[in-house]
Amino acid sequence: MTHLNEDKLIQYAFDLMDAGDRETAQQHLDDCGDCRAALDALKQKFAAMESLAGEVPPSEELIAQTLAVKDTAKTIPLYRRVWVGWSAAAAAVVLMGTLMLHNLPVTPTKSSPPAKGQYRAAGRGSFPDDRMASLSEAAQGSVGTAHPTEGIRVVSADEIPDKPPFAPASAIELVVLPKPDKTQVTIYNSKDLTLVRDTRKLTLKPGWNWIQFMWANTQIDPTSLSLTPLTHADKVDIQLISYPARLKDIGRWLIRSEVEGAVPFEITYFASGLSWRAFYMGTMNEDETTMDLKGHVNVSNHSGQDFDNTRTRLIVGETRLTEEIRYLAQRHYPYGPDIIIDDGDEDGIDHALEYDEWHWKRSRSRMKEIPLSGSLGGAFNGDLYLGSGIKHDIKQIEKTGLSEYFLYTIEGTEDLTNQWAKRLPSFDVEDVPVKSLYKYDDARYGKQPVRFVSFANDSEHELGETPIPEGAIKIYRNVNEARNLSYVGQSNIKYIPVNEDIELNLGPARLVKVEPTLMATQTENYTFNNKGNIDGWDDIETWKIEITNTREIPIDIEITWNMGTDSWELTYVDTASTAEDAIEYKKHDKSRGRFTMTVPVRSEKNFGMTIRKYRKKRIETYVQKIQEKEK
Amino acid sequence: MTQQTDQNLMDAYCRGEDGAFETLVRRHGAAVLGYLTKMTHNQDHAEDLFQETFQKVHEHAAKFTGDNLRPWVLKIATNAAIGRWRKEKKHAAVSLSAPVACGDGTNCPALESTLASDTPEPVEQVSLNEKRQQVRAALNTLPTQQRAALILNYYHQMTYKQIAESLGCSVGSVRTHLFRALKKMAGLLPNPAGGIE
Repeated sequence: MTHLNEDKLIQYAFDLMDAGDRETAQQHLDDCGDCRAALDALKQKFAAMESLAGEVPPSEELIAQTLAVKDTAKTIPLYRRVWVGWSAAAAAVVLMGTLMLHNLPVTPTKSSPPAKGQYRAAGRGSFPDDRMASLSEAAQGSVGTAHPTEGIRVVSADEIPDKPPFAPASAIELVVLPKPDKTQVTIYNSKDLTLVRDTRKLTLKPGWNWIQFMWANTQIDPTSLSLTPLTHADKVDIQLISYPARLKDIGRWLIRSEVEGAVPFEITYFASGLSWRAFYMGTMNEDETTMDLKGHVNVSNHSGQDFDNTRTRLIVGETRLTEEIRYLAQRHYPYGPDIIIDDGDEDGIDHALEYDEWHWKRSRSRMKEIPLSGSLGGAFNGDLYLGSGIKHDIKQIEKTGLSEYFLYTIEGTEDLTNQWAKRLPSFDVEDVPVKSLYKYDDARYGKQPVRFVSFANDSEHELGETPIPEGAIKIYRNVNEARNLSYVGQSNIKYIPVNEDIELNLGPARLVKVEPTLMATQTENYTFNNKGNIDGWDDIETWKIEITNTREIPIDIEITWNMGTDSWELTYVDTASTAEDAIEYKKHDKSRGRFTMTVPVRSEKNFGMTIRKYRKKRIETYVQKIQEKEK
Repeated sequence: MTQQTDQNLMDAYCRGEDGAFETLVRRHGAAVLGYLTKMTHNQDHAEDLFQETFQKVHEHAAKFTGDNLRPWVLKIATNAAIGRWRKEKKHAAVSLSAPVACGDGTNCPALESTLASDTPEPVEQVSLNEKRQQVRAALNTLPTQQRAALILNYYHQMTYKQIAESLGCSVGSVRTHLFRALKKMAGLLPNPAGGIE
């Protein structure tokens, strides 16, 4: 018969042949040395598989984690298990679902109780979601005994197993956190960093509890998550936080509880995507001596999640941060659609003020109250957003100094909805004394004078209680008694500490002109070298400067004259004799002189000057002259 | 003292005796973890699946009938491993034993041996590790069903019927899986002569 090929040998060696075929093969092998050798070779080859033989004993740690499954699973009557010794009608309610810190499509109808494994779908954004609320309500409804306001029962520590359960693979073991009762966000603009703190009442069962939370589609730094019980701290122990393998954007807290019932917790984490900007509007009076200054803060939320009923605090100043949260957040999925949630929670403000830790020095400013306008609660783009953030009273922003930066706290609470922005009034101060000044400096501003308005962030200017955050400012002016406004200019305010001056550049002035004319030039004081060649001289320039003020008010102007050399002197200035017309001159620095003057209403002013500029070898003479003067 | 049967222990566990479950985990844990390690080529994944497996055992404890828990547990473990493999198809993960890119594509050290390369080992150990690596690599090339069939048959001495139950297929399919797996392995396993001839 023919030799056994590899297929036959494999079938023979691993007993995959029919009895008849096997007998035939056996007979052949008995007679054929080649096939026997081939069979031996095959067996030797497969002997390598023995290297992987043997069992892999699980570590004690793994066994402990695995065993713990029964401790948590006892509470789930989903199977035909007969549970013994579990009293109080499952008083410890296991709420199914997940704590979802992310932004998902809203399904307004309450869904059926979440099933095992539903959290997997949640990661893909298909979770029916009222962001925890629907979950917890559905879960509560399904179990029927959960009540966050139930009294808290303390159980004996002996009743709790020593070994914690392992992180369950499915959602059934997990406790959901209900919607936050109160939330506080602190936005550190300088680093795209927001500290979020919220409190939620979490219904714990005695023993071990797992809480799952998700941050898909959000910009949360999962490493910053922290959970703290606000009451019963000695009875409730947060043991660890685990990030299960295979599951993206999911973490689980393990809590050992000696109490049963609803315990308030605080969750803190860093998020990114929230930002705020300051806007200012200044309205000057007719003669431009005072200005009403209004400040607004525009808070925008692109963090991927909604913050309802949220106390909002803004940090002014620089903070240190080594990593940017938005990178830590490692988003896997694009943004979901915009969501507006109006939870209608009316008592948010009181809750929000309960935070004991907020021992902020209340330096309530004398900023006066601002009537509610369309801007409050209005969306950034002008659409009207009627969230519960609209309270028909006055919001104020409270300012507090911290060690290195400054804290603005928006009074009450706001709904900060994802992808929305909100503008809130910050302060409103009347009659801030201001100084208008026109500046001419062709090297810096070109041929046109530029208009500046200056004031100081101090008490003399009705300010000075807080630093003024960086932001854009628009300046208007009352042009007549009917308080019609004209637009003056726009500028940006840099961060202004208390007692610092502010000078706003409002752009080129149209009604003020400065026209310099070179009237004459001449050279003199030539010097010669040994060969009789010229090696130095003086240039003498005679200028006439004409300033025109076509405005209805007198103006102050400052002309900075660039000499183009360091070796110069002003030999003659044609200043008027009367005090009113006086032109002040001073040497501004080594190459510039500065003239300041007041130009009356609708008038022109001229002055002349002669400048001597020392060239080449003559510079030595100039230096000598200066030295003699200093002596 | 006679050893309690798996059935007795499961019954005891269902009545609420905590110790019974531990006994079962200790009794079958090494086999399950060994199986999952071979199936997944990744210790972490194997441990995850190990927990998942025993959680299923716990959840479905009341459904267990029979004397020997081993095939049932391995069936659950197989399902867990296959479920994981299906998921991984969508989100490819780097296995610890995946070859490290090293240019010519041959004789690449596996990641784990690269990680442990600073530990001096006897020649035999190195040789054994190499052999294991080759077997693992060969196993890894097999489709999941074939791999499961081969591991259950070769390492766990399960009958075709038991394997068929574990994989949810017919005995004939098991034989086909097994034959194809062995044929492929025969082509991939190192020649014991090692080219010295």
